[in-house]
Amino acid sequence: MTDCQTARENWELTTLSRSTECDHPSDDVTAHLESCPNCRIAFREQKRFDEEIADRLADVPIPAGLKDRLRERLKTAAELPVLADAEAPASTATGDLVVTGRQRRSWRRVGTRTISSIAALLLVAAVAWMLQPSRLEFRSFMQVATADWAEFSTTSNGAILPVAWTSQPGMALGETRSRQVSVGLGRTVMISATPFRWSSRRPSVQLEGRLVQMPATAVRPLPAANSFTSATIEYQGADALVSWVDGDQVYICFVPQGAASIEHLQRAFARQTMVT
Amino acid sequence: MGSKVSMDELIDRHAESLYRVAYRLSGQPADAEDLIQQTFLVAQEKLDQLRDVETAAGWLVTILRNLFLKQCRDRVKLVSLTDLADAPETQPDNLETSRDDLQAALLALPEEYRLVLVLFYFRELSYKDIAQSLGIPLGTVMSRLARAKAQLKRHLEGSGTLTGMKSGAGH
Repeated sequence: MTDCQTARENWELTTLSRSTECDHPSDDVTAHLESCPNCRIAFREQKRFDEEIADRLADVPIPAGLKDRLRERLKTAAELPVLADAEAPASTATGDLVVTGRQRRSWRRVGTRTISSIAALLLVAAVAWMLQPSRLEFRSFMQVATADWAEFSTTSNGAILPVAWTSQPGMALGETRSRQVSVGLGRTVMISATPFRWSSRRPSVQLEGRLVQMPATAVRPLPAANSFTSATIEYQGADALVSWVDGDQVYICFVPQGAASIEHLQRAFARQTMVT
Repeated sequence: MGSKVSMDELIDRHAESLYRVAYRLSGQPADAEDLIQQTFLVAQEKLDQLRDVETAAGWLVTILRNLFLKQCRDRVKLVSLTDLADAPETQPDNLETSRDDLQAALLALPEEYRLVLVLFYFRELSYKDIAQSLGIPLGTVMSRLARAKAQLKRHLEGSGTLTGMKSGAGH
């Protein structure tokens, strides 16, 4: 015979009506309830409590246009190109290889003069390639921007923060960290990240995120937007972010809470711009 | 059915119920919408893994649960709170929560308790599905549920919300 304690433990899941057989009280519990008035009362009270909480919890207004916005976001995400390889080799080396191949095929027919000319050309091309600025694919920049915070070093060369971010009401900026990212052949570029927390009263919003930046000369292609407020939401996997160019820096604002939170922040920045 | 399930169909059938769950987990409409947006983005990427349309609700809840817990972890690891100076303005007020003591009580629960409680009360999934979605045995669902209900009851009693409401939670 089931005792009171066991019966109470076992009816925990069965106080709300469900459709499946196994979600109803077991025979043992039912038999105990029939024979124990105290447990019968306790079960009824539990059931009443659960039903009331269930009813109250279900009372959530659904935002207008929710399904349309979901479809739109899915459509936008589906149109994004496949992520580029972060360590893709620079394409400029290909031309050298072609020249070398041609040179090898006609080796016996060319004179010393031609060989010297080709060697000089190769040397010039190699020097020019070595001197050209190293650039990071923008997709790789996005991957770094949304990486685990622990991947950023505690040391930093500092950040060049946009004035709007340092003067935005409700904005608290943390200590900048940085991370060196390889762009091939032993070359690296420095990416800085500054954590932030922003809160507003109306609407009541609190969010945390990260402002990530790197020199515009070190990334390609550049984002189309030239301000935070005009930037459109992009996705890195399931993470939402926005990117823009400001002066000689490229910025990414990443908020793990997602697109709607970023839009809140953009609206606040836009309002502040109008005020000032 | 498998890959024949369309995202349109999933949105039509499950968007609203998922939104309710997401809202009760996060406590903010914007966060809830973001959470289900991310859920459907992941679902779109992994749609071929859905074998049976009848299991779609549990499958989507599993994705939502993973994203919710990841988001909770991200908020902690994104930045240590000690890295941040105090915000120049005050923290957000409690307007939302004061209007909804039940939501405030829910948000006071640990994430794992909140998850099991919300899935239990929404009645969308069977108990077996809840256990599968959360990746825990049925017995663990029961014990978490019992503790979660007891904590919820204490919070509601503390805020006076239980006045006039008979309760058996926690016995």
